[in-house]
Amino acid sequence: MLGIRVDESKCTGCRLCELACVAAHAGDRDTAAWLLEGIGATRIRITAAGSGGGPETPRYRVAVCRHCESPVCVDGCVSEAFCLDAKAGLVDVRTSRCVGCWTCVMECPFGAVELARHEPGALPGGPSAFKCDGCRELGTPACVRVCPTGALGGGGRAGGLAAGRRRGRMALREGVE
Amino acid sequence: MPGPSGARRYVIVGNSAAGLAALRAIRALDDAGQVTLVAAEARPAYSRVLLTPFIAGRLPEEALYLADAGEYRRLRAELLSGVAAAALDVSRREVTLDDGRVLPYDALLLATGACAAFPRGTPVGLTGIQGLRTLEDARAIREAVARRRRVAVIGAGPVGLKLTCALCEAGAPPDVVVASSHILSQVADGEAAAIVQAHLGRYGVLFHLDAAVQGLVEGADGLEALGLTDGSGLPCGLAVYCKGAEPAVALAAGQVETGVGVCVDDAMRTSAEGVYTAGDVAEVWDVVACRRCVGAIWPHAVAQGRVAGTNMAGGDARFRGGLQRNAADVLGLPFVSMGQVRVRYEDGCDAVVERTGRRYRKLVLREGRLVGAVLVGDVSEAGRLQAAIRKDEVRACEVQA
Repeated sequence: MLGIRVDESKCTGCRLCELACVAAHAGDRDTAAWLLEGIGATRIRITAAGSGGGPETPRYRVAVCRHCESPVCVDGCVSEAFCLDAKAGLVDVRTSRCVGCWTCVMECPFGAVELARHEPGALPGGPSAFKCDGCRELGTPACVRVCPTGALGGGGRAGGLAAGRRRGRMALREGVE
Repeated sequence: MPGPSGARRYVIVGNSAAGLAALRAIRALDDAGQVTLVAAEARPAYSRVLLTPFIAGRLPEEALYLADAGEYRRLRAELLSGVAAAALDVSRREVTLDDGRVLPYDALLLATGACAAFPRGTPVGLTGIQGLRTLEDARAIREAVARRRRVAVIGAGPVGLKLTCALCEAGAPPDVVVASSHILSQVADGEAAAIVQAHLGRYGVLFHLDAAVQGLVEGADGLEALGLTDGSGLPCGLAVYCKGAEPAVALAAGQVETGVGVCVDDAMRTSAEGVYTAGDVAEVWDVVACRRCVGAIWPHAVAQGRVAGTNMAGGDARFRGGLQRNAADVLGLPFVSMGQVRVRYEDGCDAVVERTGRRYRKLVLREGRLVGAVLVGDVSEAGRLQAAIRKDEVRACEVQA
């Protein structure tokens, strides 16, 4: 089980996770050049949460795929491009099936999916879904490895919607237990 | 009461998103049951939402299918394709097919979907007059485009909009006949619609607002022109009606409680014992409207199908509640609409609107609670907004088992 768990209250907005994500997806390319070219888009995004909240309100929002056990993006996907790899504990995107309809962006309660142009293997003409792939080869995702505050955790336990239900918070999930 | 062999007998009427999701859910829990799937169309399940990318030429026909014959075999479902369910008797627990066969059931799923709706008096059946619901409809549109026939889209809701985009991609920007004063009148306000409309205008789409079809000119080859209520004539060889869909309730009528669709609770149970429903035919509780509505969208169909299938097989699952929502890529301009988009002051509604260039963001609040959103140009926060709409709502939480 991979999965990524997030505690936004611990995020200090250092954005080391974004750098690690881009570097982890550089492949054979020179990481520095890959970063400078701006094409190595990050799959995790840290944004300021806005002011006005109480002391409990997190200061930063962490938009990254939690690899939910019962993912609403998989239900919503009109072309079955999103699929659950239960064995690996990952929600995968088969880019070649994605028609870029924005439904996944509308469904994900964590704001973890973006649509990007020019993904390898994408259908011609439109954008396609782009999100955290869980760093399958690394075992523990790069962002989790570098997070200095413990805002990101993962490996061993599933996160996302199913876990949210167990905590009794924002239970958005339906389906089989 | 199980059949003679002791295995539970499941009948699923309908072979699209909801029916297929139910089949998969049943098999996840019940290995021994007999599952029969009744499919009116003589082909494996396909995604109706992908018909517009198919018309646009972005997808080959094979890519539309959600399951192949192998998958039905793996799931050990008996697929009866090309036959329709003609009658239902809930007291005898039987479904009669139009070829005379009778299927007894222990658990039945009505996933009969919906049919394209046409205004009264539309000469459906005339060559060149059709809806967009099936693969045949989509093939006919592709053929008309290939033969360079001019296409008119009647109706500018989400389906009409996606068809319009597909026709532009296929190099045949259509005329769009809109009954309201702006496009997307059910899912967007005038300002958001104007941005979308102006964007489509740049691709050569012509809009006829506040207009309806009044008459038509028929030639040897079928449709030649439409007459509009504003007195103008619209030459076209194909008119595609995208005026919404009507839930296919005929089978259920008189046997289970029906409204606009088939009424269900959050376990997708109808008023009759052992009868479930899911998908475009189901009338489910809507978390924003606070009443039962038919929310005929893909995410509903899949989630409801799975909930129904799980409960049919003896599991316990609940649907989290409907929320009307639509997302579209309007030729590079993203568009999302969710929940209530009209501001009615008498309901205690107000709206927060931000607009910069082609980016538009409207949040609708009802007594301080977020109940709807329209986003154009930048839809990245749509998922979080949907979660926020559902969050304070009792129905957003799972019912405790």
